[in-house]
Amino acid sequence: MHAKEHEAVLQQIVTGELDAAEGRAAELLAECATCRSRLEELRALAQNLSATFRVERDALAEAAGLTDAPGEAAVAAAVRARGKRRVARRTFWIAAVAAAAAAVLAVVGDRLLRGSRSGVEELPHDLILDGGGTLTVERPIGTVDSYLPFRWTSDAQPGWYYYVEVRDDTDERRDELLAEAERWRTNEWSPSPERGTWPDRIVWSITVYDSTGNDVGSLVVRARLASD
Amino acid sequence: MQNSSHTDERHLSDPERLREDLELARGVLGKQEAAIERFAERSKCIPRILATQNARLGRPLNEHDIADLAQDTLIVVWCKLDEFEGRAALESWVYRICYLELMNAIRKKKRLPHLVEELPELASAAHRERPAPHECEDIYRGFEILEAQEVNVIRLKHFDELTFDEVAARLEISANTAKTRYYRGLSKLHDFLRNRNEDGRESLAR
Ligand SMILES: [Zn+2]
Repeated sequence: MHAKEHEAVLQQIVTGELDAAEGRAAELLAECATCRSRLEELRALAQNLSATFRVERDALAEAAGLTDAPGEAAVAAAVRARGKRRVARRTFWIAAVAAAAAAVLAVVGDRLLRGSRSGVEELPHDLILDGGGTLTVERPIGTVDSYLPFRWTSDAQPGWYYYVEVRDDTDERRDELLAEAERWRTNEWSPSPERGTWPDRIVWSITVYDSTGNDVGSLVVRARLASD
Repeated sequence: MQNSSHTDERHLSDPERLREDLELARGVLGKQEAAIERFAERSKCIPRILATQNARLGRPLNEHDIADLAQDTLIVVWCKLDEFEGRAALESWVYRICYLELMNAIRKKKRLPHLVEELPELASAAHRERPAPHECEDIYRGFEILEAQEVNVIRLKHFDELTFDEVAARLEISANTAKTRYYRGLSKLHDFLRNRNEDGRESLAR
């Protein structure tokens, strides 16, 4: 019958403190079938671990010798873009928030959205992407009944992708990240959770990346939920 | 930039290198420009590892897939970077992520069942010279449920091939503690793998 104390002996065998063929260890293995099979399996696993790490060492050595793997320049470019992204975004938030704060707080209805002079609509909803084409945000913009879905149109080319993020835009938790989509490839996104857990004001941004990971343009948009 | 993966001749577990890698990861998280630049170079190991492994598996993914997967893997690496503790070289740590992402991508392409029949590596698995891809995968997935300190000991034992006394010295713990952590980790991993196998190699069938 396998007992708890057997594990201590097994540990000593596995870690080389006891020789399985002698003394206490040999006696235990002779009388406990569970210990015998367990020891066999643990030894096989240890061998498998060594073999797995051998594969890893070989693969790392081989990979280190490789210089032109597919997409390696794009990965490095993406790291640089990412490294800059948040810093640039932060600066932009501060500017956008300051602009909004300075703007006269008006009750904003959907019909006022374009071309009006208050905070929300000072942020453009479309732009020309680097290298041509446009990005246009469709929703949510301004006062909405539901934030979802997030939708936009763009002249993105094959291999291009989006980065979308949503942040809290209330005074209490301004700039807190609520959701983000990495390498998003379609023109619609429905992150969870919906209303109830999201605040009544959000600011969201969408950035377009070309297939090499270069940032080719981004928009920042505000939206708020209509009060019931 | 002289520090890019293939110019660094130091051993993957060189303690000084590990310290530098940890500093690098922290610098990246802190958005330090110099760290980002160094990381941009080092991150090239992602497509390199993916391409190498993909070739070993008989090229189930094409070059375009690899380039694409490299971008996705970079995001995973970046998101997990705050978990990097400098216990292994950055490349080793990235390797595990790459391996799992690659296996997921291959599975997504629904080619794994077909691979199982054809991969030469599987044939030799019986001889235990080289484990089958899914065996490596299972072990790496198993590491995720272990405590970091258990994985560290297992890694030092089997990757660096240190004795328990050497492991203990490296981690500044007693040899007994090293052995206990090792055995505990090994047992947990064993149970994890057994449960996984009992699930009928579900991962292969998916
Ligand atoms: Zn027993």
